[in-house]
Amino acid sequence: MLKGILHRVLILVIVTMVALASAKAQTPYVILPGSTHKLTITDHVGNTYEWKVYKVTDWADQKDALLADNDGLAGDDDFLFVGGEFEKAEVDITFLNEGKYYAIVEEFNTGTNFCSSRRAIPIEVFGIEATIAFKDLTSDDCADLDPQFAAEMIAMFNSGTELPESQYPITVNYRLDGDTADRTAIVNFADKMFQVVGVIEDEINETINHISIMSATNKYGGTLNMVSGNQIHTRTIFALPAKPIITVKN
Amino acid sequence: MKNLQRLILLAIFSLSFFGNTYAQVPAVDATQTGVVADGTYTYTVPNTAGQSLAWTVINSTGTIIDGTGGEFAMVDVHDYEKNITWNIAGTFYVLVETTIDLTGCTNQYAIQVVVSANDYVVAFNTTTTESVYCADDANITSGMEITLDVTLAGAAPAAAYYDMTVHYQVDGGATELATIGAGHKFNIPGMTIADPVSPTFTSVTVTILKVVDKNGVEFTPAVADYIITINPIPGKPTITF
Repeated sequence: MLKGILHRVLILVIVTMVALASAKAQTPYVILPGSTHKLTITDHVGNTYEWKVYKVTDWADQKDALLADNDGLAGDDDFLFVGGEFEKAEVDITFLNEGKYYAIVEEFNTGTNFCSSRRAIPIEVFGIEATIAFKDLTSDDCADLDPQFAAEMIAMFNSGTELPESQYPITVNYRLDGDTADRTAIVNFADKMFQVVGVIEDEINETINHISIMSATNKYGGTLNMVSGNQIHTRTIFALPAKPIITVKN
Repeated sequence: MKNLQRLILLAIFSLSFFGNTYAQVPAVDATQTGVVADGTYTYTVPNTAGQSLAWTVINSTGTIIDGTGGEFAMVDVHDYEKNITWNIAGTFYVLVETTIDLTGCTNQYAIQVVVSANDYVVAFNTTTTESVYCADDANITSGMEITLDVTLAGAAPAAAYYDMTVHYQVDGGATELATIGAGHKFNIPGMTIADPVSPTFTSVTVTILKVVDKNGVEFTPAVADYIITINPIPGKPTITF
């Protein structure tokens, strides 16, 4: 009886391990739309390579049926091979739209035996899940003629998970009042501070500056979406009091 | 053991290093010169509603001082007005910081004060002051003139130090006050001699107690007394026919 139970437990453990190993293997790389990623396999001299990207509706669809018009070369696809290069050991692929993808590379032996092997990795391209916003929507300071300041940013996935370090640095394009072109700033993972340059500082009159984020991209050029209502930071610069000029009487 | 010694040395060094307050001489907006030790000056800034003021005195090395070292004495007249008496020679800074209560924004003004030593010298000018009068001299009635020589560091004091006040006594009487300008002249009170032939007194001693310049700096002469001699006049000569 005990032997039977032990046998069942052992089988269950083995099944669980296999299942976990399989799940781990299938865990997709999560990336943002618009991002470009370098995919690499070991380059064996003489062998040739061919990369393909399949868009699937669910991860179980790892098959060639959905290849269709997804070679990334027609210009109207959900991804692009940078430079049209898809027959190398190392390629750069830009993923344009939300969805589930498999990037598959096929390696062909040298010669004419046509032997080949395939390797696939799942890639999930997020939609608007990744966001960036100002931590605080307002700040103030006394005029010090230093036209720059730093505002802390919060970059997250929709689930509330902080964007991991691997996604940094983030490039933020922003405008100040009256700007007709974007300014650019880099936000690093360490401090997540957005260095704003060009704020108007007036020692005489109080000034209100609006810093509007126009767009933001992660390390790979993937799009981070604005959180509605949280993409404008208002910075008030208070005027200074007049110098307290000392009059001396004797 | 050696390591322990090193650690102790390092600790002592760190303590002395961080124990120092690194003060700073402020950026100067104006300089006040001609200040003599013991002089008192009034420092005033605009009194603006909604703003708070903080006054600081800083020495030449940039250390904030509170006057307990005897360098100065400050009297609060108002938040916006202070009387400061500078007690010793040196360079000091009066720094005022104003803060807008609502925003916390500040601005400063610093005046550098160069205080020189009290090198006043005062003496009687015996060349221009008469020391002998006839008992019927009208000046005795109107008030005999005294001229002083006053120098500051060997030179004539600048106009900013005048008027000065002379504190003196006549024949040890009550302390009298006289105001002198750059000419350094003053008149003692008039005296009445009823009978110049037989005056009731034949000398007047003028004692200078102190001289105080416009800024309150006091100084005294090395020789305080000046003696004026009153000579009786002879009796009326009688002409006989």
